[in-house]
Order: sequence, then structure tokens, then C-alpha cells
Amino acid sequence: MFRALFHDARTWRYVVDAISTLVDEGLFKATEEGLRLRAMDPSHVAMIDFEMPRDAFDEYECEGEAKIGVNFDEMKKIMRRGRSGDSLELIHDADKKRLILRFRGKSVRTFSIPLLELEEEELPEPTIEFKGLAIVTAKALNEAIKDIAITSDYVKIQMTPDALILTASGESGEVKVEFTRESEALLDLDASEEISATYTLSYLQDVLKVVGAADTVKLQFSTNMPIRLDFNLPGGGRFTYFLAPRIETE
Amino acid sequence: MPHTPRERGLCAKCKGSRRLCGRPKCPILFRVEAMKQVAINLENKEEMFGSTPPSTLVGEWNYPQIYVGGLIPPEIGDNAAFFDSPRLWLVKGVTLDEIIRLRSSMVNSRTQVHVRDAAFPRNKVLERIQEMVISSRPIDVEVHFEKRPRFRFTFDGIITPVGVTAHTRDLILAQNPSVPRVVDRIVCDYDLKASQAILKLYSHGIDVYHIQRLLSTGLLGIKKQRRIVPTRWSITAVDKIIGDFLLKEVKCMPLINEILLFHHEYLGNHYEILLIPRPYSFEMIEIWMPRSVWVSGKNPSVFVNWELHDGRAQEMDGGYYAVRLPVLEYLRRIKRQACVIAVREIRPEYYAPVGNWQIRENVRAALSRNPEVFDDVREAIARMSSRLKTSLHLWLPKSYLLKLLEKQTILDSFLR
Repeated sequence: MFRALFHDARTWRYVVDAISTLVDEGLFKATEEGLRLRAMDPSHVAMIDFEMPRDAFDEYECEGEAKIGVNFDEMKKIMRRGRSGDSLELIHDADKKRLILRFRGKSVRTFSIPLLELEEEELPEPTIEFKGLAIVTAKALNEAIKDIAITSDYVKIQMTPDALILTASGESGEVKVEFTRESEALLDLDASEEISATYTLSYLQDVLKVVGAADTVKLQFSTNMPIRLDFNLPGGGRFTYFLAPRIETE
Repeated sequence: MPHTPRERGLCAKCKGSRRLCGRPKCPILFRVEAMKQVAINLENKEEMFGSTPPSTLVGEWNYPQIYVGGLIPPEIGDNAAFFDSPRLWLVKGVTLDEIIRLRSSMVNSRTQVHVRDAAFPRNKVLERIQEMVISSRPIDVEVHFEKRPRFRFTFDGIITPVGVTAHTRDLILAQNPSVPRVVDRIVCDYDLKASQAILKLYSHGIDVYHIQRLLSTGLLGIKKQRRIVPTRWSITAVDKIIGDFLLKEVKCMPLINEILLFHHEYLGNHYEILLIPRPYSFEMIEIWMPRSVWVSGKNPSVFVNWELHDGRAQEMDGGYYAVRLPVLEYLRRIKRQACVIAVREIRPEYYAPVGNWQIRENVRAALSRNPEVFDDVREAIARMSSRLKTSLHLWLPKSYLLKLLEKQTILDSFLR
């Protein structure tokens, strides 16, 4: 038995939007600690680790463990109907094999979708040593990626002790976005050495659909290693994203 | 259609004697030679007796009023199976010349039908052909011709060649067909969709060539929807339907552990099958060497077809599905998925096409051998290149998947 009430339905809209770009189906696991989902995209290039602790919810009841397999295309359509000021109630109806999604606002709107019987995927625990860390506002990162998208399909991310730099070059020209220690959007920077890696832009554009729900993003990476992005969600929720790099050979 | 118009002009100039096309043998003359014998035997005859493997040919000309024919070799008894045994041909290393000779000696005893006649045959020859193809063993038949048989050229990339064509007045089965029980059940199931029927037959171990004959002669599917299907279309349909079914399973399987490389050559077609530990995606690179069939220039023609894990694909043709099927069969057998690069080099020895069974059986043969194992894709490619006659720089840059793989890493490499 699982039931939870979250104060802002829009947070879930952005989270589900971002997940749906990565996988068609996925398994939420509800325990006494909270709700969690881990998913790797079919090409194994990116991975999401999403967690909403029980304290983030206004009400939370869960006995034992509930596995909630959903089709994200379906769930996305429903979540997009959430209006500003709506709260969201999630109910796992094990008997009828349904996930009930209820928006509570100016009216009470209840949707239900069939649960999918999904096998729990064994995903390896990511253990990567990161040489650099930066915290930027989610909006600023989103804008930077939009700037890059004008000229290229890939982005080179560099970190020096003083700045976080995103660059790209393509047939139509070059672009460079800098966050220095003076930049308002850069909240923290910690890099002992100069590092750089290149990532496929489309993956970043997809995951940045979650920025509507997050204020800040923590970036961590090392030269030619995966990047880890942590979006902090309201109430202590966490949306972590891993993306494998591209290796540029001349 | 043995040649492109430009080449046809060339043939007229050459008349088979000067070898202007550069092929080791004139396919037209060779064929005529092979058929002459049959023609002599059949001259002024209005009937013949033989055992069909069974074998059929359904043309696409004049669709939907098309020709359906039973192919009858001048041979009686179980040995007749050899006239339509791709697997055996490869095992025994039957040469291209011999295959053309075998096939040319068969008589296509045909009749014209409407594709919708499938479930309600108004034509007794069609009915007999249908009874004939459900058999899994050769079956004796007696054919009565309407007119004297005549020569016909059919060389084709997908269809196995056929010899003399004869309009048929009557076709009599002189023996009961031996029918596997599952075939009998499914042919009589008028509520089962054709695609489901194909998968059911396949999962019961019925040979794809047998399934293809059943589909082609309109014996599968919901009764009202049954159609006679031209051989060429039905071959690719069966490959695709079974392939798609296997693919669904394969995509859920774990990755292979190492880079594996397989190869095989038969009938002037050389195959290199490279499996890379990545999520499923598939690419076929076809290298048509100068002077092989269809190629008239001095440079090899390279064609690339691919599909990605999420189903995005470039145009795929019958040859692509014929390569894909045996590879998927292999992956399902070892319960793994992989990124597959299949290279097919067509050499000048392949001077006349004999049908795409050659692709399927060649790839099956490659995958039944022990693979070479590599740590690095580049080493594997170097090994492939050492066996191919076309230089690396002419085909490697055309590969879409290798370019993609080379640059984009996957998380698995970092998480272990």
C-alpha cells in the first residue's frame, strides 16, 4: 500500500518530462524512506537516479515496498494537465493494478493508468572520481546549452580553477559561454586542475527539461569521463543524471 | 532482367564471345547451354513426370493477375530435394555453375491466378500447387502442358533462378504430401493472422524456406485475407517478421563480453560479421567489387544500411533482412545482444545472382564457426580488412555505426 501527497504538481511534471526523454517505461520503487527511480537509456549513454524522500511529501504512507511500473508517455500526458497551485496525490492500487494520479486544486481531477509488470533492472552503482565541481543556477545552464545548440551537436565543457567554460564549434561558427568566479550564476567552483570533456548535446537538452523544477545544478566531471548533474528539487528531492562522454580523436 | 539497359547494349556487341563485361563467363550463354538439354528432352512433349522438392515460383508481373508455378526437376525420388536445398548446397560447396545448371533444368509449370484466389482456388492447378508446398519432402507430380514449354531468363538477386517455363493445363500429385503436423494445423487455421502463423511455424522449427513457400502460395492468414504473394516479397516478409520478433527478445538481453569476429565465403560472396559489446544496432556494408553482378564501372560500389537501438533506420532492403535474421538467431541462441557490423564483399566470381538464400546461409555458416576474439575494435577491423579484397579506405568511411561508436562512449565502461 502506497499513498503520497506532494504540494506542487508542477515539480512532477518536469521530472516525468525529463525521465520520458530517456526511457519509455520505468519502475518507481516506494519504500518507507521515499520514492525512487533509476533508469538507463537503451543505448547505455545516460542514466537517471531520481529520489524523493518521504519528508519531501506533505503526506506519505507506505507499508513495505511497492513497485510501480509505468509507461512514461502515458504518465507524461497526464502530468502536463497539472495546473499551477495543484497538489498531486499518488496512489498505488495494487488490486486493480493501477497508479492513481489525483490533482487537488480548484477541482479534484483523478486519472489512473495501468501498471506495467516490469523486471527490476540491476543498474551498477556509479563510482566515479570527479576532479571538478561547479554549482550554477539551473536557468543559466539551460540558457548556456541553448546558446551552444545554435552551432553544434556537441558541447565541450572545461573547468579551470577560476572558471567553468562551455564551448562548441560547428560548420556555422563557434560559441563560448563562460562562468567566472565573478558571474552571478556561478555559486560554487572547485577544480584543482584544468579538466575538459565533450558530451552529446541532445542528451543534455533532454535532461534539462527538469530545470523547471530545480533552482540549482551541481556539475561534476573529469577529463574524458562521464559527467554527473545533480538537480536539487523542492523538499529535498534529488534528480541525478549521468552522461557518458564523447572521445574526440583527431 | 538480367542486365541494365547500358549493359544490354554491351551484350549485343559482345554476343557472348568477347567477354566485354569482364565476367569470367557469359551468364546468358551459360544459361542457354544448361537449358538446351532440358529443351531437347521436352521437345514436342505435352507432359512430364518428376519429383518436386517441393519448389515454387510466384512472379510479380501483372499483379494482381500473377503467375504461380510449381518447379519440377527431371529427377524422381528423394534426391529431387537437392534441387532446392540452399543449406545442402553450401555444405557440399556446390559451385555457382552447378547451381545454375541444377535450377535451369527445372521446369516452371505455371498458371495465371488472381492474388485473391488464395483461399478459394478456382483453378485446380493452384489447388494442386498448394497441396504440393505443404509437403516437407519431395513429391511426385505429373504435369500436362497447355503449350509446348519455352525458354525464359530469370536471374535475380532475391529469387533462386529457374529454367524453362510452361503453361500448365493440369498438375497431378502422384503421391501424398508428407505434412508436418504443425503445418497442417496452421494452414487450416483460418482465424490466425499471417504474421502470427509465420512465428508459430518458426517456433515449431519449420524451416524459413518452407514457411516462405506457404506464405507465397497463399496458405497463411485469416481466410478472407489470404493472398498469393510473389516469391520475392514473401522471402523478405518472412525474414522481417521473424527478425522483428527475435529482435524484441534480443534487445532485452545482456551485452556480449568481448569483441567477436566471424567470417565465411561461398559463391564469391565474402562475409565478415563483427559483434561489438554495445546495445543492439545493426549495419550492413555491401561492397560490390568491379566486374561482379550489376557493377559495370571500375570502382567498387559500396552501400550501407543501418538501424539503431531505438529503431531509427536508413532504408533497408531484402538483402539487409536476409543478413539480419541469422545474426539475430545467433544472438538469441547465446542470449546476448551486440552491435553488429556485417560486411558483405561481392566478388567477380559471383557473375550471376542466384537468390538471397546465399546471404542467409553464408551468414549462418559464418556464425557456426568459432569466432576470433579481440580487445579493440580497431584490431578487429584490421583483421577484417586483411581478408577483404577492397581496400579499407574505400568502405570504412562509409560506415555510420562505427563512426558513431568510436566517439560516443557508454556508461558501462565507467561504472564497472
